[in-house]
Amino acid sequence: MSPTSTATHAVVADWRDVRAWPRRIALAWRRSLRFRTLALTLGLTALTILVALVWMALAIQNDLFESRIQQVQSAASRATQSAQTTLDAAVVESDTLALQNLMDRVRTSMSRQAATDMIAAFRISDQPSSTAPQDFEAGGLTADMLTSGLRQTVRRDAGTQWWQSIGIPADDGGHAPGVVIGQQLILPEAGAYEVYFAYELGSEAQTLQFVQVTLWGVGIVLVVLIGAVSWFVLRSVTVPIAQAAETSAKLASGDLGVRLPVQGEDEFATLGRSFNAMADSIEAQIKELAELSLVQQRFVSDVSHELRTPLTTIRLASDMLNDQRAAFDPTTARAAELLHAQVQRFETLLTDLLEISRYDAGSVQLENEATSLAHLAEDVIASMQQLADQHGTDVRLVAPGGYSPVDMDPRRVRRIVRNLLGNAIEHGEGRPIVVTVDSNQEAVALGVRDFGLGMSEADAERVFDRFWRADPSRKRTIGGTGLGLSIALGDARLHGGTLEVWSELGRGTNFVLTLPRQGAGLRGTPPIPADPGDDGIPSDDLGMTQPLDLSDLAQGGRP
Amino acid sequence: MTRRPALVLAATLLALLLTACAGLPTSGPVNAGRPVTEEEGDSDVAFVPAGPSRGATPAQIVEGFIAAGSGTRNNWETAQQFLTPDFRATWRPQAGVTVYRAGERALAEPAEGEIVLTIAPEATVDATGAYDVAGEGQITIGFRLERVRDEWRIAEAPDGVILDENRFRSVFRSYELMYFDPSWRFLVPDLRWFPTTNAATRIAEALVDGAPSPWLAGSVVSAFSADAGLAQRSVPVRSGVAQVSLESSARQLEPAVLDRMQTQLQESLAGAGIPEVDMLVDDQVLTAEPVNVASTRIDSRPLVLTADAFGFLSGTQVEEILSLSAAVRSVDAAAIEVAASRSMAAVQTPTGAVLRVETGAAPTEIDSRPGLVAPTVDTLNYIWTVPSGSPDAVVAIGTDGAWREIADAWPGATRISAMRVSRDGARIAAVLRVGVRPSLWVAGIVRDADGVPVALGERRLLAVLPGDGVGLAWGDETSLALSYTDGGQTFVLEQPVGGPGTALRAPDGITTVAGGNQPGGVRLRDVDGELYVQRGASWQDQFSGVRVLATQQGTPR
Repeated sequence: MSPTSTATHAVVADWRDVRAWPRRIALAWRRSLRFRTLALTLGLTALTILVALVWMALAIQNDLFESRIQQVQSAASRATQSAQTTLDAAVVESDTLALQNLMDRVRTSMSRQAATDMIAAFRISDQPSSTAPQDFEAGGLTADMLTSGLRQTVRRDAGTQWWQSIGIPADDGGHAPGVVIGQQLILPEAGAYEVYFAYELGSEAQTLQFVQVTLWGVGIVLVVLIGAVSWFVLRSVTVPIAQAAETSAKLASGDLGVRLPVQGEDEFATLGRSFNAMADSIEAQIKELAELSLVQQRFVSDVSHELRTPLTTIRLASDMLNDQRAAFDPTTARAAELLHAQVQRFETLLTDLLEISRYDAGSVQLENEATSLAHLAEDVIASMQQLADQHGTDVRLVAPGGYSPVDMDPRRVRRIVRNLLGNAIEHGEGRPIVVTVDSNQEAVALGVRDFGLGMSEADAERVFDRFWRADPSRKRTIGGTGLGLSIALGDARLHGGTLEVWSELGRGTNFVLTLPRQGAGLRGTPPIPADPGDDGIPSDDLGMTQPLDLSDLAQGGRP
Repeated sequence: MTRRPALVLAATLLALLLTACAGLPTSGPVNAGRPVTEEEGDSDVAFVPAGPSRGATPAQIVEGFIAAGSGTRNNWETAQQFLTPDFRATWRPQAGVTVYRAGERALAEPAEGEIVLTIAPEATVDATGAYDVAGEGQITIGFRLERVRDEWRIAEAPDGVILDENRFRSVFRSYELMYFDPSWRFLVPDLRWFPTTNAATRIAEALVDGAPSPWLAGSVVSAFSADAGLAQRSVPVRSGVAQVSLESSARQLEPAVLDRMQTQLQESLAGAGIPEVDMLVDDQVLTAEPVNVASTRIDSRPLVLTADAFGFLSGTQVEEILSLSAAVRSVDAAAIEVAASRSMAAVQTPTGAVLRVETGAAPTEIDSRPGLVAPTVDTLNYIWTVPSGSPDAVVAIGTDGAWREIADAWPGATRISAMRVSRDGARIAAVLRVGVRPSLWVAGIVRDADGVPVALGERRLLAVLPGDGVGLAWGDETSLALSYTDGGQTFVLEQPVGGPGTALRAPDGITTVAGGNQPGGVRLRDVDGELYVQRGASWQDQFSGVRVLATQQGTPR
């Protein structure tokens, strides 16, 4: 499976933690195209279906209710009208019995015509009448089921029927939906009565419930079905996308051999083919370049080797000539001396080239042994004392830490220190040079600071380039080949450390070598920063006017 | 931007959802329904008299009370307002109506709270709606009044309302209750007076729950029995169909009985302008078809005997009746009445003898008593004769020539000047002299099981005549026409059988009257043989040379 689905699985695995849901969902929303699309599809579909269902449910309910109301209104109206006609035609002549009999018959007739048993009638006038039939409540319709608002309205307005929704007490103690219709009925010699017809809407309610349940059932099934369909459809789209994403990631991380599987002829197939063609092309070019680079390295290595044999011969010859130069005339003696010096330099250059080519070929092996960097620095300073003296330079060691042994290749580290110190002496303008050694938990570091002319920032950036020199006119006194710093940088990197430079015109230069303990790689702050900051020693004051007050440093450096 | 509308939408949806799930309401506001539409009621004029005014005197109260007799609504609701609350409970306005002659009314107050009303009554209508002509003279009616909350109210008065004749005719109308003759062949109307409001109910009630008028009781039969009473005292008329609710025992009645009941109801209610009737039991219609009844219509043309012909007068031609005309012409006739079959006639000769003239048979003299009035023929071909001097000697002579003496026919009468049997054979009318004044009477004919007339029922006074009556004939089924002279002038009186008659000035010298099918169809013959027909309020000379104007008793089946 693709990384996306792996991520989803990881999310699902932790669903039990409810508090993590929002974060999980947000994560899934951000990371999973399929989750987002599916959630959107489901959400919008559910919303649409909900709107449609609510609308339908409302429409059906309204129609059911309205049609029933119309029906019962019509029935009640018909019944009352018929009853009124009968009553209008009555000749009662103050016969109480006859009027009561008439009322009974009218009630029966109304009940039949209005198709409801629930009928009640109440005399409106409260004036005593000997003939007026008594109020009646039939079929379970009682006066307390009628609201006073309805009764007042019916009493007040005889010109219209009035209806109201009421709850009709059901057997189970609840209330069934119902409607009551009221209007006036005029009895001869007894005056107006309020007549109420109540209808239960139980069957309508049942129908409505059935329709609603069906609607919601259909709605839920629809959402589930659409979700399933979307899931399958999205799967067919997102799986290739995820594959493409994974493959691109692998390609980007250097695995040039990965390819997309290509099936069919659709857009994904086109994408896969294009991607594969692109990957092919990239792989080919990178291989070509690598081969080219290899050829060059081999060439340099071979040239150096090939030059070595004749150079050895030349060197022996030049040594011999140099040894016998006293026997030559001065001109020849000078030539022999020059030859000897240049051959020596040539040899050094060749050695450096070979070393560089070994780095390039990656065939350098460290020979680690536990070494104290402070002692190593002390040794190097001692070995370079003569050169320093030649330049009148005072080299001082400041070592607050770095005494504990650290695994390193001492030969190479010594070479680095020697190189740095040599450069410092050469460019230090005779001013003091401070060598600092310090360490922390992760690393040990060594800094070489001179107070010479310093370099511009642009120059400092190129200081590790091969054969680069800051001032081409500058004289080489210690026979530098122009490869020293490159080799030093290579050695530092071989240790997993860094070699950094800080330089400022007029303030001098500071090289800092930082080596990790245990070869664990560098983290956190280095023991010695490359930028020395404002060390409070203006260049003009250095050395010329008064002795440099660095005794405390020197003393700290020499325990 | 998009979040807020989405929230609002979601909230609305939720609200809708809750509403949608709530189901049908069990409470709510009061809503107006359909307007209450009144079914079109009867469009009769209903009088709305004024109630008692504040501070009215006893005389004004009595005047108002009498005036409120026209307000029949809600059992004379207005009139009751003039009564004390106690008396209101006992006063029965429906007990009857006293009809008095307009203008002849006087109020006297012999003591405070006592009013005496003096009126000249024209008639009284009893609780059953029967109209009885009152005699001459005046009557007094006493009222006693009491103060009720400082207002005079009537505490004592006779039951019933008092109306002058004009208002009576606006408030009340005559309706015919239809009964059967004992042979169930003819419908016999019984005229009743009811308030015009809810006439259908009153008619149906009188017909279904009531009985025929006493004078008709022995002569008519009704299909309604105690088994088929009115279930409710209301007969609503819906879309022209009167719905008469009967008690459920009516279901057990035989179809023939139901058919007759239907016939009676339908014919009775037709007079109230209601074309159709449904008999209902528990709101279900009883299936019944009206039965065929014998028609009592006569030919609208006058039946005359001229010098050379006997028959129906069409324009100036006399269209003879086949076979009978020759027979009639063969005798010397002074008065002729032709039976419904038109195959027989009762003929009176100038000498006074009565002959039976039949098709295909020689005329036979059946009665030669002196002083006979014009003979009359009934539905069973009995010829009724009576000498004018002895009203009690009424004889019905059958086709076999046997005399059926109708004993005690017109008791108390000293003289009879005309006698006619109705076309349905159930009633007989006569112009009698009872005491000093001639008067018009009617009585039911009581027959035995074979239809043989055996007696006359209780006689009933229809009208007191100002002068002696000359001719008498049945107009339509409920009215009689006769001529009389009053102060040298001749009048024709159209007299309903139970109601106020109308007199119309007529040419002098009228000898014979013949009826038509409806009021206004009366023909007259004067001594000179001129034939007059009624044209509105005047008479038109239609034909001359009429020796005898014959009367018809119907048309052949």
